[in-house]
Amino acid sequence: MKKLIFGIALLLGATTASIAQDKMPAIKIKDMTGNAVDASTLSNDGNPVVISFWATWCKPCVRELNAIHDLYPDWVDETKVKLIAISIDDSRQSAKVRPFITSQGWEYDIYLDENSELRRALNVNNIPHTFLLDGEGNIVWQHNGYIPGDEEHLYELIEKLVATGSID
Amino acid sequence: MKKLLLSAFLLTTGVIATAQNGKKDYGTISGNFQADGQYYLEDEIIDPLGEAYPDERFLGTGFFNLTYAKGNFMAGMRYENYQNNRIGLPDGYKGEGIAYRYARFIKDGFDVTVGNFYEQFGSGLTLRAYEERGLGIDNNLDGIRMAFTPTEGVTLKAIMGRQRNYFEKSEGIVRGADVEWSLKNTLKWESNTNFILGGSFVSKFQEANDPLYNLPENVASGAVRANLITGTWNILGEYAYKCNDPSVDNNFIYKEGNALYLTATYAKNNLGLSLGAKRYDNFSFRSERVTDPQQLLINYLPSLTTLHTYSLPALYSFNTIATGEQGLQGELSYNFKRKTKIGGKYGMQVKVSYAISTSLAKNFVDENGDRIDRPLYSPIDTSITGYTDAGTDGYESDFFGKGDHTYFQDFHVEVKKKFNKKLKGTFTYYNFLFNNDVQRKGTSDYNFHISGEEAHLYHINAGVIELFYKIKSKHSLRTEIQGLFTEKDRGDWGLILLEYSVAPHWFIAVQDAYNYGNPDEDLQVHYLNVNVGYTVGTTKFQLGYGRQQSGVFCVGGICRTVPASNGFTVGVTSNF
Repeated sequence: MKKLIFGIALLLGATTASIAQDKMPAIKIKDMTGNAVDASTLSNDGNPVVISFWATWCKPCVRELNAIHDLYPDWVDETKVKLIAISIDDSRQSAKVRPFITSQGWEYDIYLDENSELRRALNVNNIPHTFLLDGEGNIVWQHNGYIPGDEEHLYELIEKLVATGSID
Repeated sequence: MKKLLLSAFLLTTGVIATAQNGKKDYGTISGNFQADGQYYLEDEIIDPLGEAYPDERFLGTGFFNLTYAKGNFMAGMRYENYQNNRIGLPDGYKGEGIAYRYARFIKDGFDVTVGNFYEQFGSGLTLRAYEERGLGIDNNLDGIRMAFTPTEGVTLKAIMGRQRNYFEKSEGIVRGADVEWSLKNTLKWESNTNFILGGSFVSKFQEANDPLYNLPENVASGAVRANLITGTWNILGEYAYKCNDPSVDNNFIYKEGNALYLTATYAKNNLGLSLGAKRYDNFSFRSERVTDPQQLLINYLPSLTTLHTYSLPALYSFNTIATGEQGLQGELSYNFKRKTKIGGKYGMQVKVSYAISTSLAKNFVDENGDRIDRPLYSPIDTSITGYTDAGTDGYESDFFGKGDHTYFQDFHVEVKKKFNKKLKGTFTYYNFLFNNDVQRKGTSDYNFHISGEEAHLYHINAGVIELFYKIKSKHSLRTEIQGLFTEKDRGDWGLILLEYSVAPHWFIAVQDAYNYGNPDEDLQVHYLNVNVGYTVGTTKFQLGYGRQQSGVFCVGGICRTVPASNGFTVGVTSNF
């Protein structure tokens, strides 16, 4: 019964709320120098941001980030987009993230979400999971999983976002 | 009562928020959902006794997460449903309910959560509350969590609560505090260098009224850590200590525990190097002394071995031995640049990795040569019928000594190469030594000591070739060819996988694993699986049919054994 009340309370509080997360929450993640960074402050000078949740052991994630890696110089030139890759590797693997990205040659901004706190706050179930943020930091699109070729669709959306300010 | 308070709090907040904001911002609501089901078929070949053929025929599970956020306030809940849990997942999850609900606000550097929460101190040696849904692990704490940043670079945390135990709560109480100081932030260092210091304290309380043993009700643990990060190096060390904590895990010995975890990594240009060492001595830490094997863990011991994800090598995955192990790992990766002799047109990545885990150097006699364990007497006469370490200090261990038993050894080499615009490949060779007694049967060093038996070590060779071929834009084919060769256990395996994908919606995968070398000829069978997936946005549907080999299934470094099964699977996952 009490649980039900709780549920109703939550729903009530939210009936007038907008559906789906629209901004990055104020959860702390760590950058490659061990600094705690508030995820809500991630930005790209008014340009779009792609946020990709991944892990060193997740093969589709690595495949996706490698596919984007081949195209990334063009993406940046044409749209000024920035890719932020947030690793959910736990303490077993998190120390290996930096050597891993070095060996892959990625030039993305990399952060650690070691105990999946940000992942949970964004309701990310499985990885890879990709978000597209507009220049104001609004989440305009998200996608779960990776099928080779998905990166082409993502780039179409980025181009549309840059050209019209929206993906619709 | 607590739940009621929380609800009231939430309601009030909702109302105030509504009252204050005549305009637009009512916050956001988001969530995710997943449901999985399996219809089981009887398979007399792989499961002659019908152990993995459930009476229910169909088993299904699902959950729904709901998160409300407005400014610096968040609240959420998760509804879970197990009708009943699928085979291979912990069957303690039964029925339905709200197993997770919280309210949280972050303001002025102060971060408060009431209700359920997850947390990790340092590497997790003293505390890690987390969930690993694929394995059925969820040891969240129900209580209060506070974090405070008094000045930039300093984080203080305090927690208290009781752990989730399926749909119940642990009897034990967990309390803890952690401090972390990142010097770069505080002292405004301009360079890429950072030095981070930290310390944590965690204690548990559980009532004790054992007729036989005088058990400690409060058990404290503490850890210190330091982390030096430069532009190329990252050196981390954490040492933890725990007071005596007799439990089922350590067979009720009264020895104190300690744990040491060290890693050093180097990354520059194309070269990545990582070295690690661990030593865990009697360091299983749970909030109840007697519990299911994967329940109520307070801490997390990183395993320092590579997490293998190709299915045949993953059959011999390593699990940390919390009661005592020591090990080393070294890994070297190198990226041969594009347009070089070895790298070719597209470059080539090579990784070489070695890891070993052994027992600790344990002495079961003290310095005077007397036995540390104690005799068991016959109730009829007073003759000695055997020995047990329960109720004693168990053993003495030499910190730098070499252990008698190898638990696991892993050597593997991985080469990744892109051949042309359309074709990429990954080639991996594996060589394992796997201690079956310790890894799968839970045999302890003391058992070996008493029985005088040698462990059963499996030598395993395996190879995987993965090829990825881009047929045309948005159409691709991925194939895995795997082989695993051993004279022990279930013998040799071969596996072939074909996965055809059409972006952005479809994939179909067919996999056949053939256990052609099984010493039991009746079990030289094919494990054929077919899976179809359809994705639209953040929603994914999956349909499968197949025979699943028994084995160890691992996610994120924790493993569980899964029995063989046969049937149809269906799954849907979505979020908004």
